[in-house]
Parts: sequence; structure tokens; C-alpha cells
Amino acid sequence: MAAIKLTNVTKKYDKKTVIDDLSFEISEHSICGFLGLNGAGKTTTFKLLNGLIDSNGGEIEILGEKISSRNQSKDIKFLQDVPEFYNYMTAYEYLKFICNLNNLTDIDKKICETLELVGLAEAVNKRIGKFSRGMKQRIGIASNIISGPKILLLDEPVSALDPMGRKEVFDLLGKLRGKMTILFSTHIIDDIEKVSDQVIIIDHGKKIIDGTVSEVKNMFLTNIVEVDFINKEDAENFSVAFKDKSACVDSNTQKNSLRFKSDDMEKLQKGIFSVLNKEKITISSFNIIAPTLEEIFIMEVVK
Amino acid sequence: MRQFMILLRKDLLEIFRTKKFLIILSVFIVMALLSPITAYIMPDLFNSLGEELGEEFAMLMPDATIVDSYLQFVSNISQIGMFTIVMCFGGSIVKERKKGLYVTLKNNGVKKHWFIFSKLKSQFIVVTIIYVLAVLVFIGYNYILFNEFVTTYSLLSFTALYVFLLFVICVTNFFSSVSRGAIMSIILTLVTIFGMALLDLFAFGRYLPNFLLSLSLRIFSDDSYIELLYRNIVLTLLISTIFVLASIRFCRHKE
Repeated sequence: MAAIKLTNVTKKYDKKTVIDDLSFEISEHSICGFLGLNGAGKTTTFKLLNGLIDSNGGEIEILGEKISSRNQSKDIKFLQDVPEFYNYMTAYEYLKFICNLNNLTDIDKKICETLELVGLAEAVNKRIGKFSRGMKQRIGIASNIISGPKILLLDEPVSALDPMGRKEVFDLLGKLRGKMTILFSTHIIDDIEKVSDQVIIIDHGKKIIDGTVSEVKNMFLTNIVEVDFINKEDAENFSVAFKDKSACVDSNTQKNSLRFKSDDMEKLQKGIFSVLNKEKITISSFNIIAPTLEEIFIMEVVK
Repeated sequence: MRQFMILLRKDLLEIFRTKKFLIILSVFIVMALLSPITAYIMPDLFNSLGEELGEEFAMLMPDATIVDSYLQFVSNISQIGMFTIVMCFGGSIVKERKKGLYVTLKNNGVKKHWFIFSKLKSQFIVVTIIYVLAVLVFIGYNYILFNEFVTTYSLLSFTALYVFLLFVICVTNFFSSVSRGAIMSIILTLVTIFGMALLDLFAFGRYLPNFLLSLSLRIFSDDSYIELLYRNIVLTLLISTIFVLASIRFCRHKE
């Protein structure tokens, strides 16, 4: 069963269509990166999933149950992009407040475990108003996971953080892998490659790309092959022996690698392996070059 | 109800930690001390001023009584006290809505009516405690200056003023629920309350909450106003309830 399922969802503000016939599924316990330019509809999608607003059409299912603003799911928690807190409370008081609202038992133990998990054990009695942005993001995640939700929505969790703060948050997401389904939005593409099992790219409220990171990359495989040789001499010998000189487009002497390009990839690959066999040259790697997610994003969205 | 109690604890903690309790308490206690003093020294002040203007002016000011002290107290609390309450509580709901804290509460299953009720209740509790303390200080100080504890209708007069303060809290929270910002909320509240005071000039103004203040003083000189005071207390409570229901109806989180 899918943790999150959207079927032909549409959302309009006045006459502007923000979400346009959007459909996707996210399986349980996976981490999904939600990518799009500012205004692409990421935050609106989160609000729809959380039941903060209603769609104008389509269906949203959370763990098989249809949801709306009148029927919000208790299994889902949502952390906004710049979370705000009751700054006069300490980390302990805030988490206790959240635990009480969720009617949890064994509160002290849960608070200790959660603060330990998010790396804020030492700040237990510190007022949230004195927290750094990174710490606030982590206490936000702590307050959302303490009740043990099955789905966690994070709206641009690292957008306001420095590299250290970003690392802390992604390390934390890594720790949560397998414990819950996580959907996080970002416009920093490297973030998605770090932790995501699945990636969804939307633009103007429409889905452009959906799949695992490797599936998405494979969709956009180029017609470029990179061969890494063990040493410089092998690379030079190969270069001399390879007849189709026009296919060789680049050489990297530091890496002892050569790049080849051809419209007929099968013929190119056969030709390369034939020379390698004939010349008894050993290689360290053979790769069909896949673009980075950033390159794909630029190709498909920014254009 | 469980949610309400949790939110109430949180809201009370907020009022204490953000020093709102201390601010309102200070203002009310100062008013409680200042009102009898002002009433007490006012005739002397006018008389000394009159002496400078001529003997006939000095004779016009009678000695201060405890009723003059009540007049000062009601007028100070209903103006400066009311203003302090509006300033302190005007942003309480709108700030949570704007910052997205209300969304966090909704995300944790909090119902809108409990969110509003806990704000109101916490403010009622704080204002009640402070008001009772201020009244006690006022009565004590009156005894020192006028050698009198209470007059016949003191309790009724204090109750009328208290009901007016509860009304102020309800109006403040209503505008905090519907406004886009704290400043707008405070301005709208003050305009509404002062606007109602201006309507006193018209016949129907006698049915509005502000008329309570006038009645709470008139009963000292004419007990025929008591019935009218009771009627206005009931009307004020009804109008306050309408403001509370409207707060729940129109309160929206930031989208």
C-alpha cells in the first residue's frame, strides 16, 4: 500500500491553477525528494496532504484513507519551511506540550530519546528563543516525530541553513530512514541525491519526473561513454589503436580517462571492447555518462 | 476538554513568561493607589488654585468623599487599564496565526474553539486575579485616606467594571482572530470601544457595554439605576458572547 497517493489533484486560488492534475504515489518507509522552482506548487501540495486546505478536484489518500480539511490524517505531521515556536518555552517544555496534545504516555522517556536522536540532548533546558536556526529545525523535526507519525512532511527543511546545519538535518533524515515515510521539498538538487529513494519534480503544479534517483538518471542517459584506464600508457595505446578518432571527444590525463561520443551507442561500445581485447588493455571503469539531477532539472524545468 | 486544559496551561505560562502579567498588574496597582490619592487631594488642589483666583472659587470645592475615589478608579481602570489589556492581548491570537503556530497546533489535533477558549480563559484568569488585587489595594487605601471601607453599592460597582473588562477581552480577541497583524488588531479594538463610548450620546447607547461605566457610578447617588445596571450587565455578557462566537467562526490560519 502506498503511504501517499494523489490522483488527478487540482488546486486553484481564484482563477490561478497552482496544482494541475497532479498524480503520484510514495511507498511506505521511503524518503522522497520533492523538487521544483519557487512557486511550482510544493508547499500547496504539502498543505493539501496535511488537510490544511482542500483541493478543487481529485483524490488524496494517506495510507489508503481519503483525506480533506474535514478529515485530516493523524498519521501525518507537517513541518513548515521556517518553523516558529513558543520562544519562551524550553526544548523540554515544548516537547512535553506536544506530547500532552497527542495524549502520549511515558513522556519523559520519549523526550529524552527524541532529543538524543536529533542531537539536542544538551539543550533540553535551554529556551527555544536562544536556539540557532539549525537547532530550531531539529527541534521542529523532534516535535513532529515524537508522536511516532507514519508520514513526515518537511517543507524546505534546509533552505535557511548553513552547510553545517544542512548536514545535521540530512544526517537526521538518514537516521529516520525505514522508520517513517518522509516527503521533503527542496530546490537544492544535491540534497535529493544525498538521501532520497524517490524523486518527484514538479513545475507549474504539474508532475514532470517521477522515479528513483537512478531511474531518473537512466531516463536521461547521454550518448557519451567514459573509459578509465589503469595508467597513462594504456590510455595512449588505446587512443592509437582505436580507429574511430572522431568518436573520441575528450581526454583527462590526470584521471587517465577518455570520453567517446556516438549516435550509435551499440557500435561504439562494441568497437571499444574489441580494441581492449585486441590490445590486452585493462580498464578500471566503463561508464555511460548519466547527467546529474541538477542537469536533468535544468533540462526539463528551467530549459 | 483535555486539549483545553493543556492549551490553558500554555497560555498562562506565556502571559507570565512574557511579563504581560507583571505589566498589567503594575498598571492596575498604580491606578488603585493613584485613584484615592487623586480624589483626596483634588479639592485641596482646586481650593489652592481658587484662592489665587478669588475667595468665591475656593468655596466651590467640597471635601472629597469615597464616591469621588470610586469615580477616579472606574475612569482610570476603564481607560488606562483597558488600554493596557488591549496592548498586551491584542496580538495573542494574530501572532500565532501569522507565525504558523496555529497550524502546528492544528497539526497536533487542536480544535479551533479550544484554541480561542484557552486564550480567553487565560486572559480572564489573569485579569480577574489582577483586578481583585487592585480592588483590595483600592479599598485598603480608601480606608487609610477616607476612613471608610466600602459604600452600599461598592460590590455592584466593582462587578460592573469587571464585566466591562471581560467585554474588552472578548473584543480584543475577536479582532486578534480576524486581523492581519497585531497593530491592526489593537487599532480596530480601540476604535470599536471608543466608538461605542461615543454612541452613549444617542438613546440606543444606553444598551451598549460602555454605559455600564456610567451606571456603576450613578448607583451611588440614585439607586433607581440598579435595575438598569443589572440589565446592562446581562446585555454586555450577551454581546461578549457574540464576539466570542464570531472569533471562532472567523478565525483562520495563514494559508
